[in-house]
This record gives sequence, structure tokens and C-alpha cells, in this order.
Amino acid sequence: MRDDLDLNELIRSAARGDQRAFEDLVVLKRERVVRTAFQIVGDMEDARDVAQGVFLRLWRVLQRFDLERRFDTWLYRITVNAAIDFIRDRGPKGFLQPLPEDAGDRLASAQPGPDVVVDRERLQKTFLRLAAALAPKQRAVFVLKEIEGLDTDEVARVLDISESTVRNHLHQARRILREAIRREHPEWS
Amino acid sequence: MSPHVDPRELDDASGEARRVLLEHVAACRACRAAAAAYDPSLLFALLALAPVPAAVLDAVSQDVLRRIEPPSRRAPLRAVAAAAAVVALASGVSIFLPGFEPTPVTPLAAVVPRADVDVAPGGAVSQVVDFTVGDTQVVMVYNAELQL
Repeated sequence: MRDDLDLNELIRSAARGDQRAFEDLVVLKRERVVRTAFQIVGDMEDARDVAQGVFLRLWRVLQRFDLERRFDTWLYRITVNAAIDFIRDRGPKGFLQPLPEDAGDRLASAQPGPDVVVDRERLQKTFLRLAAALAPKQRAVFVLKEIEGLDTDEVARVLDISESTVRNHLHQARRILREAIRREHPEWS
Repeated sequence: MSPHVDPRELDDASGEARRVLLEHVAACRACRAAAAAYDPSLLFALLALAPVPAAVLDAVSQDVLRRIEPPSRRAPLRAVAAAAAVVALASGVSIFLPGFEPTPVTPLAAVVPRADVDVAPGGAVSQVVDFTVGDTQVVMVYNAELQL
């Protein structure tokens, strides 16, 4: 695992045009970028396109990155903006389209244990279906806070909104999802 | 200390601490039930543990690396083109850009031999800055696609 000094050196080299360093940077950050994009756009092929766009943009603007700032926050910002732009272009009125029942199958399940694997696949499908009811910003806040595990203040910096707005979006998103789960999957709770 | 995860603790945690709690919840039926009873939307946090398929990650790397180009290949060319235009025009040399009519430059002196520089026009819009320093008129032409 790289520490901040290693990361900064990698960023410096990549910003100078070192393609090998940039490749390392992509490998280091690609899973986070793809996962975040996937949970927002709801489709793995679309998430792959978004991620490519994110890294191509990163290559162009990396020399402007201020090393005093947190790189992950900056990268999340580029990713979330790209994903939200994508779904706004795709869907009417800025809202997501409902996804097919099998949309979550393309996100691999992890260890450990077969029962967890089954649960997680079902969980992914359910999230993609129910999260289609969220506004893009609500969905982005939920993904960053609940799935990516960011602090409220970092979510606020990523989305360039106040912490109280983050809390409000999160409250609304969780209420919508909670009510949908209780309506459609009463056996969960 | 309870071996089980309090859903409120999971709700408040972030970063690596949250990941540790999630790994426990993912493997513990009692904790999943407790989280679902507290707020079933909390269960979606378990998606943080799902890895992205390696084939997708490799495809992202390959596509990105195929499409990037070294920045040093283009940027200096622009600088050279712009600088050459400045030097050439300040010396009384004219540059001919098809489709582009620069501000007429006052001939500085008959002693300066005129020379022509052929410049292939680029697709971008040309920007022109025209000013005089003493007896020297300077015309700067900037075009991001200029190829000398």
C-alpha cells in the first residue's frame, strides 16, 4: 500500500508526462473510480466509459493538481461529476431510468461464504432498482457516504456543497430507500 | 465489549474502521438482521465489499493508455509556433496564413530583408495581439493547432 509520499511522487511524475507513472496511478485508483461510477450510473459498461473519460481528463489536468490537497477528494469529484453528467444526458429531467432486474449481475460478488455471495447479488440488484428513484445528487451522496464510506465533510468537498446539504440529501435518500425496501422487501426487516 | 456491531456505530464510522465493521456484518447474520431492523438501507453499505471484475479494470487501463499521448509532444510545438510568429513578425517577416488577414504591419526598414514563412493553418481560431514597442511593431499570433 502506498503512503501519501509515494502517491505524491507518482502524481508528480505522471503530471510531467511519465506514462508509466500514470499507468500505476490508474491501476491504483481504477477500482474506486469504476465502483463509484457503477453505483451512480447503474450499468457496468457505462461505468467503464465514465471511468475512461475520468482518467483521460485526469491525464490532461493532472499538472494543475495542488499536492497540498487530497487527491482522492479531487478524483471523486471528477468521477461523480462525470457520472452525473452521464445520467443527465441519458435520462429525462435528470433522473435515472429504471434498470432491468439483472443489472446487478455484472458486479462480481466477493468472498466469503456462499450465503453472503447470494445476499450481495440480490442486494446489488435491489439497490440499482430502488436507487433509480433518487435524484442524481441524492444518489451521489448516498454512494459516497454509505458505500464509499466517506466522512460527511469529505462528501461536501467532493460535491462542493455544504455539510448540512449533504445531511439533507442523505436523509432524503435513506428515507426513499427505506420506504421502498419496507414496501417491496418486508422480509428484510 | 459486544462481539456484535451496533448499527449506530456502523452509521457513524467512515474509512477503514467502517470497512472492518462491514466485513463483520457481511459474515454475521445477527448483525445483518440488527442493521436491517435499524434501517434496511444500511445494508447497501455492504456493496462496498463487492470487487469490480478484473476484466473491467484491465479494460479501463488498456483503453486509457491507448488513448493518451505524451503532453510534451504537443505543448512545445505550440510554444515554438507562437514564439516563431512573434520573432518573425517583430523582424519584419510576414507570415501567410490562408484565410487569416493579420493587421497590416508597418515595414520596419528596407534594410531588413523580407522572408516568407509558410504556415499550415490549424483548425482552431487564431488569436492576434498587436502592439508597438519603440520603433518595433510586434504581432503575436496564437493558434493551438499551428504547425510550422
